[in-house]
Amino acid sequence: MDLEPAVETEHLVAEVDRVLGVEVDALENDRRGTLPRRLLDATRALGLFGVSIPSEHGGLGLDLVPTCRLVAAIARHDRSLATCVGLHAGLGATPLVNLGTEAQRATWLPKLASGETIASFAATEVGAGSDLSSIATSFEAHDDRFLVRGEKQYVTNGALAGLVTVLARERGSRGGYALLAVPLPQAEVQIGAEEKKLGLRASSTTSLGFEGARGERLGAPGGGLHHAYEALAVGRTVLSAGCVGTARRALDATLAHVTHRRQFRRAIGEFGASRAHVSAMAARLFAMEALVDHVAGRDHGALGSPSVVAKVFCSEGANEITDRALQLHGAMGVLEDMGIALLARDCRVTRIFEGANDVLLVHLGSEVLARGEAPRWHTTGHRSDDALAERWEVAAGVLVTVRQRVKESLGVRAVERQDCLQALARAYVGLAAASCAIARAHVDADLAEHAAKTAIDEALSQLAKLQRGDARVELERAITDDLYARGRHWVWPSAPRSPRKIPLA
Amino acid sequence: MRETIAELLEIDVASVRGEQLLREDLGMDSLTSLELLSTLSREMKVDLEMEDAMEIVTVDDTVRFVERHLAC
Ligand SMILES: Cc1cc2nc3c(=O)[nH]c(=O)nc-3n(C[C@H](O)[C@H](O)[C@H](O)COP(=O)(O)OP(=O)(O)OC[C@H]3O[C@@H](n4cnc5c(N)ncnc54)[C@H](O)[C@@H]3O)c2cc1C
Repeated sequence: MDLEPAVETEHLVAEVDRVLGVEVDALENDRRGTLPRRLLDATRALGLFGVSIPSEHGGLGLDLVPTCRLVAAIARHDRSLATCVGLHAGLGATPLVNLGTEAQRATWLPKLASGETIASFAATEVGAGSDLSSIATSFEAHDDRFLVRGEKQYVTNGALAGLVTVLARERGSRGGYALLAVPLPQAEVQIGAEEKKLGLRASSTTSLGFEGARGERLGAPGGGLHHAYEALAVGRTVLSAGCVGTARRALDATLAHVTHRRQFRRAIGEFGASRAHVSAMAARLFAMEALVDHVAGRDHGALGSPSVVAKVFCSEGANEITDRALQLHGAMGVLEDMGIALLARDCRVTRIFEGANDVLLVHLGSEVLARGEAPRWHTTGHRSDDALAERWEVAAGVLVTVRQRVKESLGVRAVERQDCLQALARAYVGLAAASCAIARAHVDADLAEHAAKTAIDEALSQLAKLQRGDARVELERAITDDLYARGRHWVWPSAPRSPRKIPLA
Repeated sequence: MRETIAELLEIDVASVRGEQLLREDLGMDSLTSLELLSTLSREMKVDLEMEDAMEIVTVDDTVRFVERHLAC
Protein backbone atom coordinates (compact mmCIF):
# COMPACT_ATOMS: atom_id res chain seq x y z
CA MET A 1 0.00 0.00 0.00
CA ASP A 2 1.23 3.44 -0.86
CA LEU A 3 -0.59 5.38 1.80
CA GLU A 4 0.61 7.56 4.65
CA PRO A 5 1.31 5.30 7.66
CA ALA A 6 -1.46 6.81 9.79
CA VAL A 7 -3.97 6.52 6.94
CA GLU A 8 -2.84 2.98 6.26
CA THR A 9 -3.42 2.11 9.93
CA GLU A 10 -6.91 3.64 9.80
CA HIS A 11 -7.71 1.52 6.75
CA LEU A 12 -6.42 -1.60 8.45
CA VAL A 13 -8.35 -0.91 11.64
CA ALA A 14 -11.52 -0.41 9.60
CA GLU A 15 -10.89 -3.66 7.75
CA VAL A 16 -10.21 -5.53 11.01
CA ASP A 17 -13.47 -4.14 12.41
CA ARG A 18 -15.39 -5.19 9.33
CA VAL A 19 -14.01 -8.74 9.15
CA LEU A 20 -13.99 -9.48 12.88
CA GLY A 21 -17.46 -7.98 13.18
CA VAL A 22 -18.63 -10.85 10.98
CA GLU A 23 -16.27 -13.63 12.05
CA VAL A 24 -16.09 -13.26 15.83
CA ASP A 25 -18.51 -14.68 18.34
CA ALA A 26 -16.54 -14.01 21.52
CA LEU A 27 -19.16 -15.59 23.78
CA GLU A 28 -19.18 -18.77 21.74
CA ASN A 29 -15.35 -18.88 21.65
CA ASP A 30 -15.36 -18.43 25.42
CA ARG A 31 -17.87 -21.27 25.87
CA ARG A 32 -15.90 -23.60 23.62
CA GLY A 33 -12.55 -22.55 25.10
CA THR A 34 -10.85 -22.27 21.74
CA LEU A 35 -10.40 -19.96 18.77
CA PRO A 36 -12.05 -21.55 15.73
CA ARG A 37 -9.77 -22.43 12.82
CA ARG A 38 -11.88 -20.26 10.51
CA LEU A 39 -11.25 -17.21 12.71
CA LEU A 40 -7.50 -17.88 12.81
CA ASP A 41 -7.54 -18.17 9.01
CA ALA A 42 -9.39 -14.86 8.72
CA THR A 43 -6.81 -13.32 11.06
CA ARG A 44 -4.02 -14.68 8.86
CA ALA A 45 -5.74 -13.33 5.75
CA LEU A 46 -5.87 -9.88 7.33
CA GLY A 47 -2.10 -10.06 7.79
CA LEU A 48 -2.47 -9.55 11.53
CA PHE A 49 0.13 -12.13 12.51
CA GLY A 50 2.65 -10.11 10.49
CA VAL A 51 1.96 -6.66 11.95
CA SER A 52 5.30 -6.37 13.73
CA ILE A 53 7.41 -8.39 11.26
CA PRO A 54 9.62 -6.36 8.89
CA SER A 55 8.21 -6.10 5.38
CA GLU A 56 11.32 -7.65 3.80
CA HIS A 57 10.30 -10.84 5.59
CA GLY A 58 6.70 -10.67 4.44
CA GLY A 59 5.18 -8.80 7.38
CA LEU A 60 3.38 -5.47 7.50
CA GLY A 61 6.47 -3.93 9.08
CA LEU A 62 4.45 -1.65 11.32
CA ASP A 63 5.89 0.29 14.24
CA LEU A 64 4.62 -0.25 17.72
CA VAL A 65 2.02 2.58 17.57
CA PRO A 66 0.00 1.09 14.68
CA THR A 67 0.60 -2.42 16.04
CA CYS A 68 -1.01 -1.28 19.28
CA ARG A 69 -3.95 0.30 17.45
CA LEU A 70 -4.60 -2.99 15.69
CA VAL A 71 -4.35 -5.07 18.86
CA ALA A 72 -6.80 -2.66 20.52
CA ALA A 73 -9.14 -3.12 17.57
CA ILE A 74 -8.96 -6.90 17.89
CA ALA A 75 -9.56 -6.72 21.65
CA ARG A 76 -12.79 -4.81 21.05
CA HIS A 77 -14.07 -7.96 19.35
CA ASP A 78 -12.34 -10.80 21.22
CA ARG A 79 -9.74 -10.57 23.98
CA SER A 80 -8.64 -14.16 23.49
CA LEU A 81 -7.81 -13.47 19.85
CA ALA A 82 -6.08 -10.22 20.85
CA THR A 83 -4.01 -12.17 23.38
CA CYS A 84 -3.04 -14.75 20.75
CA VAL A 85 -2.05 -12.11 18.17
CA GLY A 86 -0.59 -9.69 20.72
CA LEU A 87 1.62 -12.33 22.31
CA HIS A 88 2.75 -13.51 18.89
CA ALA A 89 3.53 -9.98 17.68
CA GLY A 90 5.01 -8.76 20.98
CA LEU A 91 6.81 -11.23 23.23
CA GLY A 92 6.78 -13.97 20.58
CA ALA A 93 8.31 -12.21 17.59
CA THR A 94 10.35 -9.44 19.21
CA PRO A 95 13.39 -11.53 20.26
CA LEU A 96 13.68 -13.04 16.79
CA VAL A 97 13.22 -9.69 15.02
CA ASN A 98 15.70 -7.87 17.27
CA LEU A 99 18.25 -10.56 18.03
CA GLY A 100 18.00 -13.23 15.32
CA THR A 101 20.87 -13.84 12.91
CA GLU A 102 20.14 -13.31 9.22
CA ALA A 103 19.68 -17.06 8.83
CA GLN A 104 17.32 -17.31 11.81
CA ARG A 105 15.29 -14.36 10.60
CA ALA A 106 15.11 -15.69 7.03
CA THR A 107 13.97 -19.11 8.29
CA TRP A 108 11.33 -18.00 10.74
CA LEU A 109 10.07 -14.50 10.11
CA PRO A 110 8.20 -15.22 6.84
CA LYS A 111 6.34 -18.05 8.58
CA LEU A 112 5.55 -15.86 11.57
CA ALA A 113 4.43 -13.07 9.24
CA SER A 114 1.93 -15.26 7.41
CA GLY A 115 0.73 -16.85 10.64
CA GLU A 116 1.66 -20.30 9.33
CA THR A 117 3.78 -20.43 12.48
CA ILE A 118 2.43 -18.94 15.70
CA ALA A 119 4.97 -17.75 18.26
CA SER A 120 4.98 -18.11 22.02
CA PHE A 121 7.26 -17.12 24.87
CA ALA A 122 8.05 -19.38 27.83
CA ALA A 123 9.67 -17.85 30.90
CA THR A 124 7.40 -18.70 33.86
CA GLU A 125 7.92 -21.92 35.85
CA VAL A 126 6.41 -23.48 38.96
CA GLY A 127 9.17 -21.95 41.08
CA ALA A 128 9.77 -18.83 39.00
CA GLY A 129 6.86 -16.45 38.45
CA SER A 130 7.54 -12.86 39.41
CA ASP A 131 11.17 -13.76 40.07
CA LEU A 132 12.38 -14.87 36.67
CA SER A 133 16.00 -15.00 37.79
CA SER A 134 15.17 -18.16 39.74
CA ILE A 135 14.27 -20.29 36.70
CA ALA A 136 15.49 -23.90 36.69
CA THR A 137 15.08 -24.70 32.97
CA SER A 138 18.56 -25.31 31.62
CA PHE A 139 20.39 -25.71 28.34
CA GLU A 140 23.59 -27.35 27.21
CA ALA A 141 25.58 -26.12 24.23
CA HIS A 142 26.83 -28.71 21.76
CA ASP A 143 28.71 -26.72 19.11
CA ASP A 144 25.98 -24.48 17.70
CA ARG A 145 23.17 -26.73 18.92
CA PHE A 146 21.46 -26.17 22.22
CA LEU A 147 19.52 -28.78 24.17
CA VAL A 148 16.84 -27.53 26.56
CA ARG A 149 15.55 -29.30 29.68
CA GLY A 150 12.87 -28.15 32.08
CA GLU A 151 9.21 -27.35 32.53
CA LYS A 152 7.53 -24.06 31.66
CA GLN A 153 4.06 -23.02 32.84
CA TYR A 154 1.24 -20.85 31.56
CA VAL A 155 2.56 -20.55 28.03
CA THR A 156 0.17 -18.44 25.96
CA ASN A 157 -0.36 -20.00 22.51
CA GLY A 158 1.23 -23.15 24.00
CA ALA A 159 -0.92 -25.58 22.00
CA LEU A 160 -0.86 -23.49 18.78
CA ALA A 161 2.79 -22.55 18.65
CA GLY A 162 5.28 -23.56 15.99
CA LEU A 163 8.06 -21.63 17.69
CA VAL A 164 8.64 -20.94 21.35
CA THR A 165 11.25 -18.60 22.78
CA VAL A 166 12.47 -20.14 26.03
CA LEU A 167 14.31 -18.43 28.87
CA ALA A 168 16.87 -20.90 30.27
CA ARG A 169 20.17 -21.03 32.19
CA GLU A 170 23.30 -22.75 31.04
CA ARG A 171 23.98 -25.97 32.94
CA GLY A 172 27.07 -25.89 35.10
CA SER A 173 28.74 -23.42 37.33
CA ARG A 174 28.60 -20.25 35.21
CA GLY A 175 24.86 -20.45 34.83
CA GLY A 176 24.42 -17.59 32.32
CA TYR A 177 20.91 -16.94 31.01
CA ALA A 178 19.92 -17.24 27.37
CA LEU A 179 16.86 -16.98 25.15
CA LEU A 180 16.50 -20.04 22.92
CA ALA A 181 14.26 -20.40 19.90
CA VAL A 182 12.78 -23.89 20.03
CA PRO A 183 10.82 -25.12 17.00
CA LEU A 184 7.64 -27.14 17.56
CA PRO A 185 6.46 -29.81 17.27
CA GLN A 186 9.32 -32.04 18.30
CA ALA A 187 9.29 -35.31 20.22
CA GLU A 188 11.32 -33.77 23.05
CA VAL A 189 8.64 -31.19 23.85
CA GLN A 190 5.50 -32.24 25.74
CA ILE A 191 2.50 -29.93 25.54
CA GLY A 192 0.33 -29.97 28.66
CA ALA A 193 -3.46 -29.81 28.84
CA GLU A 194 -5.27 -26.50 28.37
CA GLU A 195 -5.62 -24.59 31.64
CA LYS A 196 -9.20 -23.76 32.69
CA LYS A 197 -9.22 -20.04 33.37
CA LEU A 198 -11.44 -17.24 34.70
CA GLY A 199 -11.24 -15.41 31.41
CA LEU A 200 -9.41 -15.40 28.07
CA ARG A 201 -10.74 -18.94 27.86
CA ALA A 202 -10.37 -19.22 24.11
CA SER A 203 -6.70 -18.27 24.34
CA SER A 204 -4.44 -21.32 24.64
CA THR A 205 -2.52 -21.58 27.94
CA THR A 206 -0.50 -24.75 28.53
CA SER A 207 2.64 -26.00 30.18
CA LEU A 208 5.54 -27.08 27.97
CA GLY A 209 7.97 -29.79 29.07
CA PHE A 210 11.41 -29.84 27.44
CA GLU A 211 13.40 -33.07 27.58
CA GLY A 212 16.53 -32.34 25.60
CA ALA A 213 14.68 -30.27 23.00
CA ARG A 214 16.71 -28.71 20.17
CA GLY A 215 16.94 -24.96 20.02
CA GLU A 216 19.05 -22.06 18.82
CA ARG A 217 20.30 -19.20 20.92
CA LEU A 218 18.92 -15.73 20.21
CA GLY A 219 21.27 -12.88 21.03
CA ALA A 220 24.36 -12.67 23.17
CA PRO A 221 25.62 -15.47 25.43
CA GLY A 222 24.57 -14.66 28.98
CA GLY A 223 22.23 -11.90 27.84
CA GLY A 224 19.03 -13.88 28.27
CA LEU A 225 17.48 -12.03 31.19
CA HIS A 226 18.26 -8.66 29.69
CA HIS A 227 16.79 -9.75 26.34
CA ALA A 228 13.74 -11.14 28.14
CA TYR A 229 13.17 -7.84 29.95
CA GLU A 230 13.44 -5.96 26.64
CA ALA A 231 10.91 -8.27 24.99
CA LEU A 232 8.65 -7.96 28.04
CA ALA A 233 8.70 -4.17 27.65
CA VAL A 234 7.32 -4.54 24.11
CA GLY A 235 4.88 -7.22 25.29
CA ARG A 236 3.56 -5.02 28.09
CA THR A 237 2.97 -2.14 25.68
CA VAL A 238 0.97 -4.40 23.37
CA LEU A 239 -0.92 -5.80 26.36
CA SER A 240 -1.80 -2.23 27.39
CA ALA A 241 -3.26 -1.70 23.93
CA GLY A 242 -5.43 -4.79 24.45
CA CYS A 243 -6.73 -3.16 27.63
CA VAL A 244 -7.64 -0.05 25.63
CA GLY A 245 -9.71 -2.21 23.27
CA THR A 246 -11.46 -3.98 26.15
CA ALA A 247 -12.24 -0.68 27.83
CA ARG A 248 -13.59 0.80 24.61
CA ARG A 249 -15.92 -2.14 24.18
CA ALA A 250 -17.17 -1.77 27.76
CA LEU A 251 -17.77 1.96 27.30
CA ASP A 252 -19.62 1.46 24.00
CA ALA A 253 -21.89 -1.18 25.52
CA THR A 254 -22.52 1.08 28.51
CA LEU A 255 -23.43 4.09 26.38
CA ALA A 256 -25.95 1.98 24.48
CA HIS A 257 -27.38 0.60 27.70
CA VAL A 258 -27.68 3.74 29.84
CA THR A 259 -29.34 5.73 27.09
CA HIS A 260 -32.01 3.06 26.54
CA ARG A 261 -32.69 1.46 29.89
CA ARG A 262 -35.29 3.48 31.80
CA GLN A 263 -36.05 3.50 35.52
CA PHE A 264 -37.95 6.09 37.56
CA ARG A 265 -39.28 7.41 34.22
CA ARG A 266 -35.84 8.37 33.03
CA ALA A 267 -32.99 6.86 31.10
CA ILE A 268 -30.61 5.64 33.79
CA GLY A 269 -27.78 7.56 32.13
CA GLU A 270 -29.46 10.80 33.21
CA PHE A 271 -28.86 10.20 36.91
CA GLY A 272 -25.93 12.13 38.29
CA ALA A 273 -24.34 8.99 39.67
CA SER A 274 -24.49 7.38 36.23
CA ARG A 275 -22.96 10.45 34.62
CA ALA A 276 -20.15 10.23 37.15
CA HIS A 277 -19.52 6.60 36.14
CA VAL A 278 -19.72 7.21 32.41
CA SER A 279 -17.56 10.33 32.41
CA ALA A 280 -14.97 8.60 34.60
CA MET A 281 -14.92 5.67 32.16
CA ALA A 282 -14.48 7.92 29.14
CA ALA A 283 -11.80 10.05 30.81
CA ARG A 284 -9.84 7.02 31.90
CA LEU A 285 -10.05 5.52 28.42
CA PHE A 286 -8.92 8.84 26.95
CA ALA A 287 -5.82 8.82 29.18
CA MET A 288 -5.16 5.13 28.48
CA GLU A 289 -5.17 5.70 24.74
CA ALA A 290 -2.95 8.75 25.03
CA LEU A 291 -0.53 6.88 27.27
CA VAL A 292 -0.28 3.83 25.00
CA ASP A 293 0.27 6.03 21.95
CA HIS A 294 3.01 7.91 23.77
CA VAL A 295 4.79 4.84 25.14
CA ALA A 296 4.53 2.87 21.89
CA GLY A 297 6.06 5.83 20.07
CA ARG A 298 9.27 5.64 22.10
CA ASP A 299 12.47 3.93 21.01
CA HIS A 300 12.38 0.24 21.82
CA GLY A 301 15.48 0.73 23.98
CA ALA A 302 13.65 3.27 26.16
CA LEU A 303 10.49 1.29 26.79
CA GLY A 304 11.38 -0.25 30.19
CA SER A 305 9.75 1.96 32.82
CA PRO A 306 7.28 3.62 30.42
CA SER A 307 5.90 0.19 29.47
CA VAL A 308 5.40 -0.55 33.17
CA VAL A 309 3.53 2.74 33.57
CA ALA A 310 1.28 1.89 30.63
CA LYS A 311 0.71 -1.69 31.80
CA VAL A 312 -0.29 -0.72 35.33
CA PHE A 313 -2.46 2.23 34.28
CA CYS A 314 -4.19 0.40 31.44
CA SER A 315 -4.78 -2.93 33.18
CA GLU A 316 -6.20 -1.19 36.24
CA GLY A 317 -8.14 1.15 33.97
CA ALA A 318 -9.67 -1.70 31.99
CA ASN A 319 -10.67 -3.43 35.22
CA GLU A 320 -12.17 -0.24 36.60
CA ILE A 321 -14.03 0.50 33.39
CA THR A 322 -15.46 -3.02 32.98
CA ASP A 323 -16.48 -2.97 36.63
CA ARG A 324 -18.35 0.31 36.21
CA ALA A 325 -19.93 -1.09 33.04
CA LEU A 326 -21.08 -4.13 34.96
CA GLN A 327 -22.55 -1.97 37.71
CA LEU A 328 -24.48 0.21 35.28
CA HIS A 329 -25.89 -2.86 33.53
CA GLY A 330 -27.42 -4.03 36.82
CA ALA A 331 -28.48 -7.68 36.79
CA MET A 332 -27.86 -7.84 33.05
CA GLY A 333 -24.22 -7.20 33.82
CA VAL A 334 -23.80 -10.56 35.50
CA LEU A 335 -25.65 -12.54 32.83
CA GLU A 336 -23.16 -14.24 30.55
CA ASP A 337 -25.22 -13.72 27.41
CA MET A 338 -24.89 -9.93 27.64
CA GLY A 339 -21.12 -10.05 27.19
CA ILE A 340 -20.26 -7.57 29.95
CA ALA A 341 -19.39 -10.35 32.39
CA LEU A 342 -17.07 -11.76 29.73
CA LEU A 343 -15.27 -8.42 29.42
CA ALA A 344 -14.78 -8.31 33.19
CA ARG A 345 -13.55 -11.91 33.31
CA ASP A 346 -11.24 -11.44 30.35
CA CYS A 347 -9.49 -8.39 31.64
CA ARG A 348 -8.85 -9.50 35.23
CA VAL A 349 -5.65 -11.36 34.36
CA THR A 350 -4.08 -8.27 32.78
CA ARG A 351 -3.20 -7.12 36.31
CA ILE A 352 -1.26 -10.36 36.78
CA PHE A 353 0.48 -11.53 33.64
CA GLU A 354 3.56 -9.97 32.03
CA GLY A 355 4.49 -8.86 35.51
CA ALA A 356 2.05 -8.73 38.44
CA ASN A 357 1.16 -5.08 39.04
CA ASP A 358 2.22 -5.16 42.69
CA VAL A 359 5.67 -6.32 41.65
CA LEU A 360 5.93 -3.90 38.74
CA LEU A 361 5.05 -1.01 41.05
CA VAL A 362 7.82 -1.99 43.45
CA HIS A 363 10.32 -2.08 40.59
CA LEU A 364 9.08 1.18 39.11
CA GLY A 365 9.25 2.77 42.57
CA SER A 366 12.90 1.84 42.91
CA GLU A 367 13.57 3.42 39.49
CA VAL A 368 11.74 6.59 40.50
CA LEU A 369 13.69 6.69 43.72
CA ALA A 370 17.04 6.09 42.05
CA ARG A 371 16.84 8.42 39.10
CA GLY A 372 13.30 9.60 38.73
CA GLU A 373 12.39 12.92 37.33
CA ALA A 374 8.72 13.65 37.03
CA PRO A 375 7.37 12.19 33.76
CA ARG A 376 6.95 15.44 31.83
CA TRP A 377 5.77 13.70 28.68
CA HIS A 378 3.61 16.53 27.37
CA THR A 379 4.94 19.44 25.45
CA THR A 380 3.59 22.74 26.63
CA GLY A 381 2.07 25.23 24.26
CA HIS A 382 -1.58 24.24 23.91
CA ARG A 383 -3.36 27.33 25.17
CA SER A 384 -6.38 25.44 26.44
CA ASP A 385 -4.32 23.30 28.78
CA ASP A 386 -2.28 25.99 30.54
CA ALA A 387 -4.16 25.68 33.83
CA LEU A 388 -3.90 21.91 33.68
CA ALA A 389 -0.21 22.06 32.89
CA GLU A 390 0.30 24.36 35.86
CA ARG A 391 -1.58 22.00 38.14
CA TRP A 392 0.61 19.20 36.81
CA GLU A 393 3.79 21.15 37.57
CA VAL A 394 2.71 21.69 41.17
CA ALA A 395 2.08 17.97 41.64
CA ALA A 396 5.36 17.11 39.92
CA GLY A 397 7.11 19.39 42.38
CA VAL A 398 5.51 17.50 45.27
CA LEU A 399 6.73 14.19 43.81
CA VAL A 400 10.30 15.47 43.53
CA THR A 401 10.24 16.85 47.08
CA VAL A 402 8.75 13.73 48.64
CA ARG A 403 11.16 11.52 46.76
CA GLN A 404 14.06 13.60 47.98
CA ARG A 405 12.80 13.36 51.54
CA VAL A 406 12.52 9.58 51.31
CA LYS A 407 16.02 9.33 49.91
CA GLU A 408 17.47 11.54 52.60
CA SER A 409 15.76 9.82 55.47
CA LEU A 410 16.18 6.21 54.37
CA GLY A 411 19.03 6.14 51.83
CA VAL A 412 19.26 2.84 50.01
CA ARG A 413 17.18 1.18 52.73
CA ALA A 414 14.13 2.76 51.11
CA VAL A 415 14.14 -0.17 48.67
CA GLU A 416 13.02 -2.39 51.53
CA ARG A 417 9.97 -0.19 52.10
CA GLN A 418 7.48 -1.41 49.53
CA ASP A 419 4.89 1.08 50.73
CA CYS A 420 7.24 3.94 49.78
CA LEU A 421 8.20 2.38 46.48
CA GLN A 422 4.63 1.67 45.45
CA ALA A 423 3.37 5.09 46.48
CA LEU A 424 6.15 6.81 44.52
CA ALA A 425 5.43 4.55 41.56
CA ARG A 426 1.69 5.23 41.70
CA ALA A 427 2.33 8.94 41.88
CA TYR A 428 4.62 8.62 38.88
CA VAL A 429 2.01 6.59 36.95
CA GLY A 430 -0.65 9.19 37.74
CA LEU A 431 1.54 12.05 36.60
CA ALA A 432 2.54 10.21 33.42
CA ALA A 433 -1.09 9.52 32.54
CA ALA A 434 -2.03 13.12 33.31
CA SER A 435 0.84 14.33 31.19
CA CYS A 436 -0.31 12.29 28.19
CA ALA A 437 -3.91 13.42 28.67
CA ILE A 438 -2.77 17.06 28.76
CA ALA A 439 -0.87 16.51 25.53
CA ARG A 440 -4.18 15.43 23.98
CA ALA A 441 -6.18 18.43 25.21
CA HIS A 442 -6.54 19.60 21.61
CA VAL A 443 -8.53 16.42 20.82
CA ASP A 444 -11.09 16.88 23.60
CA ALA A 445 -10.48 19.54 26.23
CA ASP A 446 -13.17 18.27 28.63
CA LEU A 447 -12.00 14.68 28.63
CA ALA A 448 -8.39 15.78 28.95
CA GLU A 449 -9.30 17.95 31.94
CA HIS A 450 -11.26 15.19 33.68
CA ALA A 451 -8.58 12.59 32.99
CA ALA A 452 -5.66 14.78 34.01
CA LYS A 453 -7.31 16.10 37.19
CA THR A 454 -8.28 12.60 38.31
CA ALA A 455 -4.78 11.25 37.68
CA ILE A 456 -3.10 14.21 39.38
CA ASP A 457 -5.40 13.88 42.41
CA GLU A 458 -4.50 10.19 42.62
CA ALA A 459 -0.80 11.05 42.46
CA LEU A 460 -1.14 13.62 45.24
CA SER A 461 -3.15 11.29 47.45
CA GLN A 462 -0.45 8.62 47.07
CA LEU A 463 2.22 11.09 48.08
CA ALA A 464 0.17 12.25 51.05
CA LYS A 465 -0.34 8.63 52.12
CA LEU A 466 3.38 8.03 51.87
CA GLN A 467 4.11 10.85 54.25
CA ARG A 468 2.03 9.31 56.99
CA GLY A 469 2.97 5.73 56.16
CA ASP A 470 5.13 4.52 59.05
CA ALA A 471 2.34 3.89 61.54
CA ARG A 472 0.22 2.13 58.95
CA VAL A 473 3.10 -0.15 57.91
CA GLU A 474 3.64 -1.14 61.53
CA LEU A 475 -0.04 -1.90 61.94
CA GLU A 476 -0.07 -3.98 58.75
CA ARG A 477 2.92 -5.94 59.95
CA ALA A 478 1.34 -6.57 63.36
CA ILE A 479 -1.93 -7.77 61.83
CA THR A 480 -0.29 -10.08 59.28
CA ASP A 481 2.29 -11.50 61.72
CA ASP A 482 -0.59 -12.39 63.97
CA LEU A 483 -2.73 -13.89 61.18
CA TYR A 484 0.15 -15.90 59.73
CA ALA A 485 0.91 -17.36 63.15
CA ARG A 486 -2.65 -18.52 63.82
CA GLY A 487 -2.71 -21.60 61.64
CA ARG A 488 -5.52 -22.84 59.43
CA HIS A 489 -8.54 -23.01 61.73
CA TRP A 490 -8.26 -19.64 63.32
CA VAL A 491 -11.07 -17.74 65.01
CA TRP A 492 -11.32 -14.14 66.14
CA PRO A 493 -9.82 -13.84 69.64
CA SER A 494 -12.48 -14.32 72.33
CA ALA A 495 -10.88 -11.87 74.74
CA PRO A 496 -10.02 -8.38 73.52
CA ARG A 497 -6.37 -8.03 72.69
CA SER A 498 -4.68 -5.04 74.16
CA PRO A 499 -4.32 -2.43 71.46
CA ARG A 500 -0.82 -1.78 70.22
CA LYS A 501 0.65 1.53 71.12
CA ILE A 502 0.77 2.99 67.68
CA PRO A 503 0.12 6.69 67.33
CA LEU A 504 -2.61 7.46 64.84
CA ALA A 505 -1.29 9.29 61.79
CA MET B 1 30.60 -11.51 50.87
CA ARG B 2 30.39 -14.01 48.02
CA GLU B 3 28.43 -16.24 50.41
CA THR B 4 25.91 -13.45 51.08
CA ILE B 5 25.42 -12.88 47.36
CA ALA B 6 25.19 -16.61 46.64
CA GLU B 7 22.67 -16.98 49.45
CA LEU B 8 20.55 -14.08 48.25
CA LEU B 9 20.45 -15.46 44.73
CA GLU B 10 20.22 -19.10 45.81
CA ILE B 11 23.17 -20.03 43.61
CA ASP B 12 26.40 -21.97 44.06
CA VAL B 13 28.99 -19.82 45.85
CA ALA B 14 31.71 -21.12 43.50
CA SER B 15 29.94 -19.41 40.61
CA VAL B 16 30.30 -15.91 42.11
CA ARG B 17 33.39 -14.11 40.81
CA GLY B 18 34.73 -10.68 41.62
CA GLU B 19 34.50 -9.06 38.22
CA GLN B 20 30.93 -10.17 37.67
CA LEU B 21 28.31 -7.49 37.26
CA LEU B 22 25.58 -7.74 39.87
CA ARG B 23 22.88 -7.03 37.34
CA GLU B 24 23.75 -8.56 33.97
CA ASP B 25 25.97 -11.50 35.00
CA LEU B 26 24.33 -12.60 38.20
CA GLY B 27 20.81 -12.11 36.94
CA MET B 28 19.88 -9.57 39.60
CA ASP B 29 17.62 -6.81 38.48
CA SER B 30 18.35 -3.32 39.74
CA LEU B 31 15.92 -3.75 42.63
CA THR B 32 17.51 -7.00 43.85
CA SER B 33 20.97 -5.48 43.68
CA LEU B 34 19.77 -2.47 45.68
CA GLU B 35 18.13 -4.82 48.17
CA LEU B 36 21.49 -6.57 48.63
CA LEU B 37 23.17 -3.25 49.34
CA SER B 38 20.37 -2.26 51.66
CA THR B 39 20.80 -5.50 53.61
CA LEU B 40 24.53 -4.87 53.88
CA SER B 41 24.10 -1.27 54.96
CA ARG B 42 21.61 -2.36 57.62
CA GLU B 43 23.82 -5.13 58.93
CA MET B 44 26.89 -2.92 59.01
CA LYS B 45 24.92 -0.02 60.46
CA VAL B 46 26.13 2.45 57.84
CA ASP B 47 24.03 4.85 55.83
CA LEU B 48 24.33 4.33 52.13
CA GLU B 49 22.96 7.02 49.85
CA MET B 50 20.99 5.94 46.82
CA GLU B 51 23.42 7.64 44.44
CA ASP B 52 26.39 5.81 45.98
CA ALA B 53 24.52 2.54 45.85
CA MET B 54 23.90 3.02 42.13
CA GLU B 55 27.65 3.23 41.56
CA ILE B 56 28.24 -0.23 43.01
CA VAL B 57 27.99 -2.47 39.98
CA THR B 58 30.28 -5.49 40.39
CA VAL B 59 30.88 -8.07 43.08
CA ASP B 60 34.29 -6.47 43.67
CA ASP B 61 32.69 -3.02 44.15
CA THR B 62 30.45 -4.58 46.78
CA VAL B 63 33.42 -6.17 48.55
CA ARG B 64 35.27 -2.82 48.49
CA PHE B 65 32.23 -1.07 49.97
CA VAL B 66 32.13 -3.58 52.83
CA GLU B 67 35.90 -3.42 53.43
CA ARG B 68 35.91 0.38 53.48
CA HIS B 69 33.30 0.41 56.21
CA LEU B 70 34.77 -2.45 58.19
CA ALA B 71 38.04 -0.53 58.27
CA CYS B 72 36.33 2.51 59.81
C1 LIG C 1 -3.49 -16.49 31.22
C2 LIG C 1 -2.02 -16.42 31.51
C3 LIG C 1 -1.12 -16.38 30.46
C4 LIG C 1 0.26 -16.33 30.71
N1 LIG C 1 1.13 -16.36 29.65
C5 LIG C 1 2.46 -16.48 29.89
C6 LIG C 1 3.37 -16.65 28.80
O1 LIG C 1 2.99 -16.68 27.62
N2 LIG C 1 4.68 -16.82 29.10
C7 LIG C 1 5.14 -16.79 30.39
O2 LIG C 1 6.35 -16.95 30.59
N3 LIG C 1 4.30 -16.60 31.43
C8 LIG C 1 2.98 -16.45 31.21
N4 LIG C 1 2.10 -16.29 32.27
C9 LIG C 1 2.63 -16.23 33.62
C10 LIG C 1 2.57 -14.85 34.22
O3 LIG C 1 3.46 -13.98 33.58
C11 LIG C 1 2.83 -14.99 35.74
O4 LIG C 1 1.64 -15.53 36.26
C12 LIG C 1 3.17 -13.69 36.41
O5 LIG C 1 4.43 -13.27 36.03
C13 LIG C 1 3.12 -13.80 37.93
O6 LIG C 1 3.80 -14.92 38.39
P1 LIG C 1 3.07 -15.94 39.39
O7 LIG C 1 1.75 -16.27 38.82
O8 LIG C 1 3.99 -17.04 39.71
O9 LIG C 1 2.80 -15.09 40.69
P2 LIG C 1 3.75 -14.94 41.97
O10 LIG C 1 5.12 -14.58 41.57
O11 LIG C 1 3.56 -16.13 42.84
O12 LIG C 1 3.08 -13.68 42.66
C14 LIG C 1 1.77 -13.72 43.23
C15 LIG C 1 1.50 -12.41 43.92
O13 LIG C 1 2.45 -12.25 44.99
C16 LIG C 1 2.78 -10.89 45.15
N5 LIG C 1 4.24 -10.71 44.97
C17 LIG C 1 5.13 -11.58 44.44
N6 LIG C 1 6.37 -11.07 44.48
C18 LIG C 1 6.29 -9.86 45.06
C19 LIG C 1 7.23 -8.83 45.36
N7 LIG C 1 8.53 -8.92 45.07
N8 LIG C 1 6.77 -7.71 45.93
C20 LIG C 1 5.47 -7.55 46.21
N9 LIG C 1 4.53 -8.48 45.93
C21 LIG C 1 4.93 -9.62 45.37
C22 LIG C 1 1.96 -10.12 44.10
O14 LIG C 1 0.76 -9.68 44.65
C23 LIG C 1 1.68 -11.17 43.05
O15 LIG C 1 0.51 -10.87 42.30
C24 LIG C 1 0.73 -16.31 32.04
C25 LIG C 1 -0.18 -16.31 33.10
C26 LIG C 1 -1.54 -16.38 32.85
C27 LIG C 1 -2.49 -16.42 34.01
